[in-house]
Amino acid sequence: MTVMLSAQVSDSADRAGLSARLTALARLVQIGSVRTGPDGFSQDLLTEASDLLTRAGERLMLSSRHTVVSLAGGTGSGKSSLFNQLAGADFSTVGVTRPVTRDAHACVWGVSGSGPLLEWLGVPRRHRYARASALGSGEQSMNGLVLLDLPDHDSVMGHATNLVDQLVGLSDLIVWVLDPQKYADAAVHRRFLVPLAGHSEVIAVVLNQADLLSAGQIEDCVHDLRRLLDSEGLPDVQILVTSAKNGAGIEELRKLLIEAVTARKAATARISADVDKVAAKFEPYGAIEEGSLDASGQEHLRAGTAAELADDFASAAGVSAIGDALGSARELRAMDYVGWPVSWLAERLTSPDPIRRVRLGRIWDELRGLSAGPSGAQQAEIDNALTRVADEKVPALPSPWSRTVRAAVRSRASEVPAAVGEEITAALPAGPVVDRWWRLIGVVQGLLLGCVLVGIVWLASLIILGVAHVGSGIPTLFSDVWLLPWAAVMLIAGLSGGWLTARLGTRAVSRAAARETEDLEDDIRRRLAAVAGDLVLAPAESELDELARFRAELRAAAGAGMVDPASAWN
Amino acid sequence: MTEREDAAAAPMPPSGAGPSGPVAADRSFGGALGVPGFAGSAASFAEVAMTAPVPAGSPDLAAASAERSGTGWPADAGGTPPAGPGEAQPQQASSQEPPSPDRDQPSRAGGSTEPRLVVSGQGGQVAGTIWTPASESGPAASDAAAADADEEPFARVDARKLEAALLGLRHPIVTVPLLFESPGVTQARAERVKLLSQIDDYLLPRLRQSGAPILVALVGSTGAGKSTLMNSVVGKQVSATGIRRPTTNSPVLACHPDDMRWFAENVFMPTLPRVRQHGLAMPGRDGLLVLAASEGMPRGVAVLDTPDIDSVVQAHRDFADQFLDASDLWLFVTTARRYADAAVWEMLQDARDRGAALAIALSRVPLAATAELSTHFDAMLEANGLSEVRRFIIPETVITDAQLPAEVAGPVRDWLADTARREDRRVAVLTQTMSGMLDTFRSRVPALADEVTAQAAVRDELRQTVESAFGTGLAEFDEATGDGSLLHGEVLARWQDFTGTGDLMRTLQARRGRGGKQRKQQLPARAVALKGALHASLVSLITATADRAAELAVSGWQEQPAGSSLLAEHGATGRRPDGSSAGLTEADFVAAALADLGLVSGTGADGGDHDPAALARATARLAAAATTAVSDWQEHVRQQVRQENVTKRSIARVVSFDDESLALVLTMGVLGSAASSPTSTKPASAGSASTGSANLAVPQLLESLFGAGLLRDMGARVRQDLRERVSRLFGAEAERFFAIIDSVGVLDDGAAGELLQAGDALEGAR
Repeated sequence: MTVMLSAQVSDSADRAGLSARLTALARLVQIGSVRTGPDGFSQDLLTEASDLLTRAGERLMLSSRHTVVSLAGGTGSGKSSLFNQLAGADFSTVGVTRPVTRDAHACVWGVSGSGPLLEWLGVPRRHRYARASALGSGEQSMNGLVLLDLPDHDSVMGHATNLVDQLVGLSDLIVWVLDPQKYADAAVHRRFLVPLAGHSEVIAVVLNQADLLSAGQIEDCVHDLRRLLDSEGLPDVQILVTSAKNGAGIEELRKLLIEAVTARKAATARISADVDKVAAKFEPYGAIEEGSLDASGQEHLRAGTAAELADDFASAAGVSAIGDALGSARELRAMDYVGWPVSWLAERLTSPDPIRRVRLGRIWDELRGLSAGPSGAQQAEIDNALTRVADEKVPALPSPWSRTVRAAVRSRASEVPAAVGEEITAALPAGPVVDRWWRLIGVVQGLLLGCVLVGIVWLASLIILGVAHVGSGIPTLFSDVWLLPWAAVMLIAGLSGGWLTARLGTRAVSRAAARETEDLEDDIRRRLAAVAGDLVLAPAESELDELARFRAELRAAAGAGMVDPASAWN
Repeated sequence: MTEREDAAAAPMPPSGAGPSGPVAADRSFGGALGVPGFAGSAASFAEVAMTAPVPAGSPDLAAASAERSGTGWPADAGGTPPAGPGEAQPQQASSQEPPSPDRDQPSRAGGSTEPRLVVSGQGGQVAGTIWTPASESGPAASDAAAADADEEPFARVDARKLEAALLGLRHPIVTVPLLFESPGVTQARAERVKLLSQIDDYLLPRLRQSGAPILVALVGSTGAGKSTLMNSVVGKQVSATGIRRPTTNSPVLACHPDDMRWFAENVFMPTLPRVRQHGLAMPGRDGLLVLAASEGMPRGVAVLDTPDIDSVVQAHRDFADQFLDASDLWLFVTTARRYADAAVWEMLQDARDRGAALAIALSRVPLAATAELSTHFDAMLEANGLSEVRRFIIPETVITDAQLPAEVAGPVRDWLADTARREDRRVAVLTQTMSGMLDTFRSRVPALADEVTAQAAVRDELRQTVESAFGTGLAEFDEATGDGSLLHGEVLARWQDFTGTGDLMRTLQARRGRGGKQRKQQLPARAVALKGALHASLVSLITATADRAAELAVSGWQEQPAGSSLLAEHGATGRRPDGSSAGLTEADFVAAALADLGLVSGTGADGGDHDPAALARATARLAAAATTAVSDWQEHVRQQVRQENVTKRSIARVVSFDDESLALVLTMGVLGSAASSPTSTKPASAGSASTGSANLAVPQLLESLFGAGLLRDMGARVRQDLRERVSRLFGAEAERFFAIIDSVGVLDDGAAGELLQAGDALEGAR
């Protein structure tokens, strides 16, 4: 009773651990299924894993009190004879011509609750036998055993092979029945045993028909069989020597079955071994050097990449050109205020504008009206920049991840130009800005211009009235010749003052424009770095996070130390 | 009759049939042609007989005729009386008794008009077999040959002609280009190896050495008792037996000491290492042929114990296949426990399909179940179309000294001895196996030729993938340059700078004076910047589209099995700096096979860029090439502007533009306006809306400078020129891929035809 109890306790612990592993495996499948492709997760592996999940889920829901044991083997190895021996009755036909068994037969010890399980196994109702009624002393301990007699896997009957595949997949414990003649057949080793590598716990091998061999030959044969199994990744598999004919070894086999049934671990051990195998197949997809991912991987991606990308984006958007254009436009506009109208007039007078002469004025106006505005960015240059980052900055990762991270880097490439354009627009000044000091200088220039004009008028009046003595009764201010130098000084002072102010003003304007351009470019670069972070690095980092999650789930699915390898049998 | 028979037969076989000559002759007369299970070939043999002069009178003539018709295959047919095909007799497969030679039964194959393989030699080295008493052939041979030339109802076959035809076929098979991983290429490669091994290991040696002993291969499942049966037949233990499976690792060939020379290194399966051994063959190294000479073997027949066909050791299967191709007769051994194994019937169907001479032994039959099992087994044979095959039942008995009791092995031994001794049987076996093998060539050679065609299709598809990838790239480039998407970013900003500051206008110059002499002016800095920006954006566009195209090509290849293996190979070459090969590649195979033929072709691997990741990107030299191309194009635009003499047009009477600035304006117009695209149907007047305000002024300016018609013409021409330059660049990019395709070897398009022709020639020679 205590044995049973402890078995149950460890059973439920096993099951909890197993379901955690299965959950992790389900997440692996989930992560993998969106990353298939030529170098991505293999579709076969994903199918295998989801099949396993379905199978495990179904098996764990069905009777945990029953243990499904299959007798599998080639045609003529004596599966049916063994089956009958174990069942204690001639349930399965035995014959000399081959193949004999074409359908699976099942014998159940302790029927209650086994119905759905047998239904799930797909054993036809007419091939089910019950041992509930004949409960002998030995039978009691076999309660919970579902013994299957499988069809021959290697016969010319093709459909039987598929059935065997299916049932071998569903069984909790598989007993391979081999005979001295066929124990090294490719049909059993290649097709079944090699794929079951790592399942030592839930496999037993029976060398039947031992009555045909002498003791020495048996030893030789078992030794050779052991060597074969070792080479196939099935070390520690129990090998029993039996003879259905003279009954040798049958008791050992029965004992083995009783142990398996009592421990009730075979079902979980089987699924556990399957999960081990599938998880191992997922391993290469997460094989990276320790630490290359956690901090330094992202660091590697992060380090200066945003700034670099911002520079690339800036050149793709022509930020320096925008700055230049903006500065030019600003200087041009400032000239309206700080410029010296006299020199402008002089220029117009000396060099006639040819465009006006060919009535291209409209175009002239339009071209002048063009102001630096949002210009977007060149998609091609953005693409090149992202390609370079993807190639150079993505750390070396196992097969699908390098590609997916690279793809993530470029996943939102088409959104970049618009985002860059928006950021630049936001950074640009809203409209034409007229600084207050421009106006001030403008006023000064106006005053100076007025001064010049007054000077000219004064000078003219002095010359006309004072020198030529045209009229009379004019105030001395306009007629006193001695004031002439003062007028001249006023004119010259106005002219030179205006010129000087214009020079100084222009210089100040361009200096201010240069400073503003610089500020603008810095601002734009900051904004572009944010764009790079959002549209380029964030997707890549989330992909790297997925990889980290994948590795964590992989560890969980592999479940190291979850099952004590020695516990299932002994 | 018997006497004449005697005269012909007696001098011929110096071994084997010698002492029993009269008996053999007797049996070969009339219905004696019935060989169990070989009805078809018996008929073939009968035709050999028919080629003989009907009323052959003198022993001389008979001998001569024997020489003629017997050099290909030694036959005592020379003197055989007219034995029509109708007299060949099929034997019931279930019979365990030796065939009764006296019963006449109409042959199934008798009425067939199918061409038969009837081999005869006409001297030369081919005729020099031990079966042919060359000294006795005399000058009468040619006379006899001439005499019955017109009496001959069937095509005669010259062994030398057949040999030449086979050699003629061998070359195209070796050189058949199986370069790409098409769906059927793995089978085709295996098929090629098989065809070659059949030609080299069986057909050619048989044609050249027709007198060699009949090689009987013991084939079968592991543990079926092949070695035990062999020991029993030989009469002493030559092959190791045991309970370990698989038992036999090295094939053992047993024959009479006199026949040993036929299996010397340079004759039989030349590539196989062998050891001579007396007594028990010890388990030696795998893949070594053990030769065991034993007085117990009948002359004229050799038995080969092959490794199993179905054990875990895959190498055994391949090894066994090779031996099967080289043997004349298969004795298939299976057991009562195994006969329903799928592997057994796969093998038997293979044997049936290739028309090889075959016999089957069902061993380890429990005495009690003999009747039941043999009935069931016969039914299975029948169902698989093998009902006429000679079948032996070997009961499960006590094995002493690794041998079956004499009475159990007796039928097999007798049958083997009989096959060796009786010329009719011998010829029938040889004819059937060779004929069957050649028959399979009829469909296999065209199948191989079809694979060549498929290869060409695969190659074309690979090229197609690359071409379409770069075609897509070019289309993308067209689109980007046509819809104004280039007029973004720096180009647009520079343009705004250039025009907004009035620099553009400043390049407009009033003509001064009547001479129209222009003042040379330095291009403003802003124009230079604009030109640079245009240049840079075009270069990046080219690089980006080339990158995408290369990526597209690589991913397109990855989706095709042939492409992905090419890529893998390409990558592997990159990883091996010494260029040495890790595995046997296609090129290696051909090189090795050609070396066999004395036609060595060097396959020098080209150095270069082998990084597979780099393949999905534009080449490093593209950037430089694109820079040059775009500069050239810009220069070309300027030349165009100058040639068009825009300065002479009406507007130019008053103003003139600097060539360079005008070229820039034209470039902006061409790149910014879909209207000037040659493929566009949009009216030329409207400025593209997508380009924003930047080029609003451009079309108007251009139109007033050039005139609408000229603008369209020039725009189209300039754009076409750019397209051509870029497509040349892309062409150079695509070359890389073509080089990879070519690096696996040149696919000779005539190979399929050559193969078919050689196949036809072989048919013609039969």
